[in-house]
Amino acid sequence: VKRQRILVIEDEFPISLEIASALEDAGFSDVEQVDNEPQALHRITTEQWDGVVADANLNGQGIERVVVALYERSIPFIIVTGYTKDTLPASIKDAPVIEKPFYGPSLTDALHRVLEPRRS
Amino acid sequence: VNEESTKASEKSRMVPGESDPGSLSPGALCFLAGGGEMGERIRRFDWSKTPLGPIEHWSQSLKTAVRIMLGSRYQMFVWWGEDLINIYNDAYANLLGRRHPSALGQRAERLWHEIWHISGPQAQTVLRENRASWNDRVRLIMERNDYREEMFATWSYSPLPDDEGGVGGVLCVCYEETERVLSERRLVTLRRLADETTAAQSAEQACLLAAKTLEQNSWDISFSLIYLLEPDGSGAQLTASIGVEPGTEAAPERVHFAKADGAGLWPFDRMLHGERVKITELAQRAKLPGGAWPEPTHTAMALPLAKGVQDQPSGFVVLGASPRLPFDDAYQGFFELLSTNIASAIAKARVLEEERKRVEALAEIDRAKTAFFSNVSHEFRTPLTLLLGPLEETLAQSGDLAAANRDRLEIARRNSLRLLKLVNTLLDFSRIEAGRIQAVYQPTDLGAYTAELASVFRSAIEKAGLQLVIDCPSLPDSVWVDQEMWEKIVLNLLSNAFKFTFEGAISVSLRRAGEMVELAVSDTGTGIAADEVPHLFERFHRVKGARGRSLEGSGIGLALVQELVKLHGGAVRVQSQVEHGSTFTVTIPLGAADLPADHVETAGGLPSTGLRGEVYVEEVLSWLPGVQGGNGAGSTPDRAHSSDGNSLPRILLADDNADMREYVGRLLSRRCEVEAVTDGVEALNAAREHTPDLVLTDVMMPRLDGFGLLKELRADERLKTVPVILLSARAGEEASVEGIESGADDYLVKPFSARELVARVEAHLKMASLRAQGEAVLRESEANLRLNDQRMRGQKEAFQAAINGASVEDSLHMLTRMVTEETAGEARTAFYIADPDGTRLHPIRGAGSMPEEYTEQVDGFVIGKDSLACGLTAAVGRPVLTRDVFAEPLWEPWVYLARGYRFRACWSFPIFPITAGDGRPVGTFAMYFTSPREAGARDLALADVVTQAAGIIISRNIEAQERARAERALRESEEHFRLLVDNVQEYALFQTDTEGTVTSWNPGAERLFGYSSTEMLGHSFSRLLTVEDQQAGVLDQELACVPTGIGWRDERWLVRKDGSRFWAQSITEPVHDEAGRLRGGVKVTRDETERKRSDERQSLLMAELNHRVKNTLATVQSIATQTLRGSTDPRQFVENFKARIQALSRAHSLLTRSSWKSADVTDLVHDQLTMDGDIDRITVRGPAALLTPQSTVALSLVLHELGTNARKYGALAAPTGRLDVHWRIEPPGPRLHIEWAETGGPPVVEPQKRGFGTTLIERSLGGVGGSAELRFNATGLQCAIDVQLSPMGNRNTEPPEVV
Repeated sequence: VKRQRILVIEDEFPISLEIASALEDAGFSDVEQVDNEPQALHRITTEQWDGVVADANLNGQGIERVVVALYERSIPFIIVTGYTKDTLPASIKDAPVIEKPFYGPSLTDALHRVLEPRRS
Repeated sequence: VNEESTKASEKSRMVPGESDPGSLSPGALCFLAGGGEMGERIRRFDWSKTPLGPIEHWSQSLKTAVRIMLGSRYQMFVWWGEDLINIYNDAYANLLGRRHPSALGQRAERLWHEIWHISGPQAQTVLRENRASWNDRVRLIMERNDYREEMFATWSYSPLPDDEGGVGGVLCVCYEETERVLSERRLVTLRRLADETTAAQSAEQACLLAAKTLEQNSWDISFSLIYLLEPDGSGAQLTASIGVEPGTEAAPERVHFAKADGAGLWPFDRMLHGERVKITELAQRAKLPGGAWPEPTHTAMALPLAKGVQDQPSGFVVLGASPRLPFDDAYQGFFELLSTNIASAIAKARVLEEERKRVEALAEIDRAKTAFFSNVSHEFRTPLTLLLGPLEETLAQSGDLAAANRDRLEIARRNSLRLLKLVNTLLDFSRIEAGRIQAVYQPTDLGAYTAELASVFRSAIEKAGLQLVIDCPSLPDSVWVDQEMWEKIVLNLLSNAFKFTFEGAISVSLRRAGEMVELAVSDTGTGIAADEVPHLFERFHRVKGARGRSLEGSGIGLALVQELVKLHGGAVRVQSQVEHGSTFTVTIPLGAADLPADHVETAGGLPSTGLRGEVYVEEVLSWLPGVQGGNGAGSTPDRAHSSDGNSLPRILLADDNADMREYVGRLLSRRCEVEAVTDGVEALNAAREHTPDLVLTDVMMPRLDGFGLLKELRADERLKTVPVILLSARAGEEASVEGIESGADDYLVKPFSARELVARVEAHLKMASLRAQGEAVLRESEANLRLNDQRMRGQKEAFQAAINGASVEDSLHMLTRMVTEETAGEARTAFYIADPDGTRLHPIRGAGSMPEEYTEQVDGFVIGKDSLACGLTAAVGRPVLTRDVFAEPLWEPWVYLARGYRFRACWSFPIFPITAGDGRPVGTFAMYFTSPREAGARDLALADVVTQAAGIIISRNIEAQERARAERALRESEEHFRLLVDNVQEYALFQTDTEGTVTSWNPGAERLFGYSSTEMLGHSFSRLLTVEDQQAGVLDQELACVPTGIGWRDERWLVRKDGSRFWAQSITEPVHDEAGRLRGGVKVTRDETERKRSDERQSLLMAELNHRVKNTLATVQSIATQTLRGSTDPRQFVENFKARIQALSRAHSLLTRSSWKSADVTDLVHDQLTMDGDIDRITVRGPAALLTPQSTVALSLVLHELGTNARKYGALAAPTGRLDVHWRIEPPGPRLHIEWAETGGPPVVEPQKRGFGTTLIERSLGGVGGSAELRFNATGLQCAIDVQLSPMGNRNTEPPEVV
């Protein structure tokens, strides 16, 4: 139904899998996963994406550069993180944040919400 | 301005003038050796840029001059060359003030531009004429400090020779004499103040004169305001002002103490409490004139006008200080002296004023009395007639009258008659003048009639030892006369002759001379001076200085004779020779032809004014001594005493009338002792013999009249204050005035009532006694004034000495000199000062006149209530006066001292400090006398003056010492503080002004921020703020907070010079100057980055913890979901799920041991391969290698899945199967390579579809930068794992370790 390309950026594989599963359960058929920053940057800059679900922390590092790249390309994104919102870097605070452990529909709803303005 | 100039001079100190001293050969500069600071500065100065050229090329003459100058301790400078380049020595640097050190090497003209009009031409003259100049105490206005300053200097310019023999420059030797000139100038003002105000008649005048004197020294006193306290003390009035318009804010004309406003600029309330207040920075509050100077006054002093500090002030004075002089101690002392001197002048003027008012009041009373006397009228006749009638009746009828009463009645009658005679005579005159005389001319045998009239006098004349010769033959014809008038003519002439004749004869003769008849009355009496003769017949004329039996009489007798003779158509004339006698000749016509016809032979209707001859005789008899109660003191009791035994007041009565003597004597005898004498001479003798309390004297008396007596009495030093009452029959204003002006105390006109006489006498006795007391007081107060003057001088000298810097002992010794002078050397003195803790006394050596050996012996005398003399005085704060130390038991142990130093009386007085302090004396003053002595009021007053002055002098000294101590302490504490500030490197301490500009910067700040003080001073504080804070307007917010006066604390990031930030905690406090105005803020800043970081770490840790837990939960969630997806039945799910969760849990446990820093791969492998039963079949090898926490978790899951798989389906599922896990570390990275190899198990087939377990193995490590590659070999599963190692603690050359 939704032919939208979604990239999941999450370094912890079980969680990445869980996110991807949740998205797939919600009907997103084209979900890709990356688990590190260089790959994430590479794929964001070289491919077309309709949306991104990103962990705020990749292998102990922040995702500021990823976020900058997303903003530059106006790719909507949501954040999935174990951090509380107030401890996140200011640069990503504006994005919707889903706290881990997440409830699948909440995550997909949030993603829908950031994707929708684009569609309409 | 100050700071600017400081900066400027700093710059000039640092910038281009300095040269590298190392570049010069030391020998060339040896002339600067030992030249102090200036020698050093000259050496370092870059002279090559001045006309003098490089220093090594200076001429020998210049070097010599400079060497001499530098070696001198006089203030000296050299101006060298055409441009007069300035070089000076250390001593002169002081005189330069802030021009030092930039003055070095400057052109003189530029340096001294403001006085170049004086100095320039002189220097040129010296250069041109090779001749020295001399300037003595010239006033110079210099700007050596930050204001134009008045100073005085004496200097001389001398030519300096150059090497060629010409004049190379000018050497100036000068010394500043400002201090001396000021001191003299102020002394002149003080002296003038004392001189000018002596003439003051009132306090107001004293103030005006004082202000006028102050105006003359407008150099030192820029303005002055003198206020006098109002009598009720509720306010003060501006009495004199110089330099300030009365009624302006600076000079309110009236000040109400109760009202807070209206006092203007001056602290009256504080002055009222005796405080002397210095007021600074006046120029900012009011525009007050600078006296002789154009600048406004900055500083003034407001002082109470009190002679002593404990005195209630009589007023206040505000004195403006010169804007061109520093207001130092001497200046303040001068103002204080001015205030005490003005206070003295006011006090003195008040004494004079009160005395003058008293005199004026007395004069007013006298004038009132005079007016009263003058108003007494002369309505005599009717009451006299009514008086005489009953008297004569009584005398005639009462044979049984007591002798004493008869005598009294006789006196009354006789004097009533006399008065009647006088009144009748006056009446005659008025009748004559009114033309209403009723003369009745009758033919009379004038010879017989005249002889008859004259013979009435015979007995009286003979009683007086004179002869009466009557030669009055009957004339052939009758003569037409009015007999009554003729009687008056004859009797008056005879009476007159008798009065002035003391020996010889009186003759009366009558004879015919042609158509006239001639009556001659001759005497051998005192005669009449020729110049008196023309006036003899003038009415009321009395011959001056005539010596007669009595001066009774109105001077009307002869005038009446003349009038009566004229009525008879005749004339009267007199021939007289002084000391030989006189002859009065009356000539009347014989017939009635010349008489008015209607009066001839007719009887008169008017009552007769004729009196019987006896009246005349009785009168003349009373002139004779011993007649009717007689002469002099016989009539008075020998000695009169009042009932209480006190001696009665003595009254001396002088009257030539015996009746009067007796009458007055009797009237007064009950209250007074009366001594009666007959004339002025006797009165004077009696008075000189025995001073009376009052003199009652008739005006007209023979020999010496009342006025003469009065004059003599007043001229006699002993008698001049004795009150004198004049008694006179002469009424009328003229006489009264004469009486008062002659100096009489009172004047009674006869007749007077007994009551009036007694009342007046008593009043005067009382007044005299009051006056005597008053005069004693006045004499005393005059003496006191003189004494005060002398004391004031003594005080002043002592103060002046103290102010001029004399030591305390020298100043106090001046007081001792005053005491010695006043007591004529009788009193010896000593001054003692108390310990600071008030336990013992110590002599002030050299201050008193007691021998020093004595005071040494009492050094350390204990202060206490049980002590004695000074020790007791100092304890109780009251004088201790020992009249005789031999008689005082307390003194017994010390009497040997009294013997040794020969004193008997010892008086001790406390000396109180001028500031109230704790009320304890600061010391004592003692007076010693060689004989026992009671202290009198004068002594106490003297001691008061001494102790007051000593209090001020000692207080000043203590204050000065304390000030010095406080200054020292302050310096030390400032030094400590500076050291503290410099040494505490933990803190940056810096100050900003109200604009945020940095004004101070401590080494701590230098260290913390990296900026040096020169980089920061003058720059805005904002450069220390982060860009964000700068944009957020933090500086403006702070500046807005400063004026609230409340400090604050804040924390923010600040930026170092190198751009790095640190978390700064700052405390900011507003800074105020002395006047309380805000000057900016001081900040103490501390680097709190560490704390900040630790806080941040803490919260980071919490966030991490949160993140980790949630991540773990997410992982668990995922494991649950994924496990569930791959499970076919719940049991399998539960088993797999539990196993995976346990694997996760083991990884966490492992990490927890290292606080989640890292985990060793060996431990991890062991943990995840639960090898209990399979230990023989599993080989694990590899070096120690630390993994990151993320890698640990991921690798744990991978190994768990591999192990589970091996156990269920792989090599370990078969009894022969083996598992080999080994690893190695490889650079770069370093990275860990794990080889997982299963052998001997069931055959392996690559799965068609990857399950969760397999995906987990293959993909878990991607997130941590690693990988796992499964090889499904037929012989057994192999897996190649690549993981990045933790950067910490791993070395790539670790030797392999076998487990």
